[in-house]
Amino acid sequence: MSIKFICSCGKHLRARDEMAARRSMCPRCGAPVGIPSMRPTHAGTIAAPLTPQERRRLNREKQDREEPDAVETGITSSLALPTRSEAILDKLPRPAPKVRRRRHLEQRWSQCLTYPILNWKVFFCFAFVLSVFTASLILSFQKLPPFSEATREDWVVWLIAAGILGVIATYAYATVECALASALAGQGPAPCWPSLRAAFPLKSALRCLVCFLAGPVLLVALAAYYWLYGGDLEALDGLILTELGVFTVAYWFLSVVSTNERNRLRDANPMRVAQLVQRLSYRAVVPVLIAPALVIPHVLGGLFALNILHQQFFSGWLLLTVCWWSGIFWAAFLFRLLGVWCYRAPLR
Amino acid sequence: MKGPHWGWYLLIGIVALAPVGVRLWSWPGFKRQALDPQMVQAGQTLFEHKWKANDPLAGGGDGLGPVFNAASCAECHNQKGIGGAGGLAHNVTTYVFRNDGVAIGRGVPREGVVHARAVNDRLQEKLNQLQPDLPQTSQPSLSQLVSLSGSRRDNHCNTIQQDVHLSQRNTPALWGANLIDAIPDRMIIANERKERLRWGMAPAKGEELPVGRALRLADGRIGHFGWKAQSASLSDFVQAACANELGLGNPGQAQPRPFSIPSYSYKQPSSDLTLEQCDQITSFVASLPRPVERLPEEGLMRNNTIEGKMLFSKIGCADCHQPKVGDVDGLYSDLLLHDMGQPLEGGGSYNEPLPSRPDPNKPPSDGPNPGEWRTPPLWGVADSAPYLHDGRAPTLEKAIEMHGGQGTRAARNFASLNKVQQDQVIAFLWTLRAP
Repeated sequence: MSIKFICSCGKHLRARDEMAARRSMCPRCGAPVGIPSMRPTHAGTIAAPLTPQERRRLNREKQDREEPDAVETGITSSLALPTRSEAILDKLPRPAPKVRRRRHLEQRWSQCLTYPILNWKVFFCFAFVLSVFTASLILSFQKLPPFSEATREDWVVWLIAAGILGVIATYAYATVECALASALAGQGPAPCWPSLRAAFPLKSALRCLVCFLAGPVLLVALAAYYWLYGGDLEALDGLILTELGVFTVAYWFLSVVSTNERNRLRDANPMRVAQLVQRLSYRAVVPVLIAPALVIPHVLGGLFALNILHQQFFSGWLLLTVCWWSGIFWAAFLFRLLGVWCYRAPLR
Repeated sequence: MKGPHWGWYLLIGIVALAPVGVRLWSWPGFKRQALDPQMVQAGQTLFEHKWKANDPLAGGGDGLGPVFNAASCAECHNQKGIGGAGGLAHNVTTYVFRNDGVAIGRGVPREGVVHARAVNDRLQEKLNQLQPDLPQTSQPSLSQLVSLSGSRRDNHCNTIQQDVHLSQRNTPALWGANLIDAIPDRMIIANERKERLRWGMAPAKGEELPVGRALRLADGRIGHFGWKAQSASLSDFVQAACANELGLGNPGQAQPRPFSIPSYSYKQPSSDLTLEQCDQITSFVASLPRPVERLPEEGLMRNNTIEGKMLFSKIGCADCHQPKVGDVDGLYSDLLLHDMGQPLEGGGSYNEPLPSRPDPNKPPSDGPNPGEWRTPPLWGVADSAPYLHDGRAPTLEKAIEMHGGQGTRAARNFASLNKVQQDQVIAFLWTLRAP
């Protein structure tokens, strides 16, 4: 069984059992590394987690140790003479044991599509539930009496449903942010299911909120005021709203990446975001131009779906589901891409 | 890592926000028309003048007519003073044909006004000239429209399924017209967007939610005046009224031809009124004061009124009859078109008849539907009875009860109030008086 551990530069390493508690050198950064033992000898040292195959092997060994009678008496099915069918089965070629292919960190931008494709089922589940709740809340809100004279029961149910929608949206966002976090840690794409622990999605939601409040909220407020009071929009007005949308989406994407790198909320400030852009150099065109080009049509599509919802419920709900699903898919791809790039251009 | 120079941040901020700032600065604001006292005086003279055929004030035109509804503006606009609303006796009857073919076949415009009077009997317009089975009258009463074959008992006009649809318009009050004229188009569009956001992006053409729409006219402007918001400015409204009500052609709108004689041609095609005369009348109308909100001094009446004002918002009346639009406070209208349901349908154009559509199969334009009406301002409502577009509601209670379509929600909420609360709402409405 091999010992797995992670170097300080982020490189995942593996060593033989015989090398436990000895010193070696990281093949990437060249720094000396201490190979841990499987059993921690000091407080604070931990071993790398077991793979599923290693876990199953341990369980079989444990099972063997817990059944001594079968071995000592010698009268077991394993010592009995093989039957005719078992003899035939023994001669047949056995299928090769399934080895889960371990993916490495992506090298090219197109490989970043692997992550959202691997997780499409998870994303679809989220999109389905989000669209059901969104449609229900929008349609039921119209039937609510004014807040000042409504009964408590009228609003409690609606607020609970809104709360559930918020929780599901938080989990969905946390799943998308997994793409970024795993890329920043140098891990390859893998199917991801969010942890049921509340701390993880809450932390993601807090990070998202802080990044939004750190700057984009002003641009969104300005754009909303402009759209509301600007009258019939001309081409120039459309360009202005698009410009505000581009700045909003770009800053938010970059600030989320920046806060994830060092896991610090204060990295959402403009100076850190500017440094990130400088590190990414020409690749910064992705969060600045391509991300808004993907996000804005999804937002407009969602508003259009809400419009249709009132007239043709099924068509509107279907469009809403597609918008959610596509939005989560592309958000995961963009986060994954930015995470990989940031991993390849580390902080100095 | 050393960050970029602070000048780059400044440059990016300027690039991002400069276009927005310049555009915000160029937005049209609330511009009240400056009034010239001499123009106002001259306009009042014209407003009160009793026109006749070949009137000397008509310049080179034929004066009053050939077809008209009244001999002066003040003849209809006189309730509680010059410029007020009018009673049922001065209702204007409009018509619209269901399809172009029938109108063309009878040699009349597709939609227009059935004028109550003419300069001579030969030119007199009558309903049976539109459709033979209609009565031989020029000015049907509301009750007559109800008794026509094919009419609905709950609708004071015959059904739209007939070849020709008849409806009536009650004379509106002109108080505070200058303030309405000064409201920029973008404020009315903002009302439209706020209502859509409030009701979850619901479309404006539904009948369930109070989501109105601004009427965009052919030239891109937003309608401010008229029962169907068909006039973008006070000047347009005055010019259309002069032409349709008095038969005084002007540069803004030609006088209508009598449909009793489809081949009628004018002796002189020039206008009866000059642009300056139209501006004078417009100045006078703009000078009319705005209605006032007269709260009782103190005591139980005052408390009831204040409570009634709160209930007015609570039950949803203020969803359409918004207290404030832009800088105009106390208007109680969002100036948007709302679909009020089939019982309150009323087709026909008050303005210059639209040209016949070359292709009847072409999708209809963005014009108002028969059931759509601009939310009438409630300022001065206590002194402008009867109510609704054709005056079918003699009292405020009846008017609220008759709200249909997008107004059903508020009407239902009003009906669910107890008697005391209903009286409080009516008491509040009774404080909205003419100046």
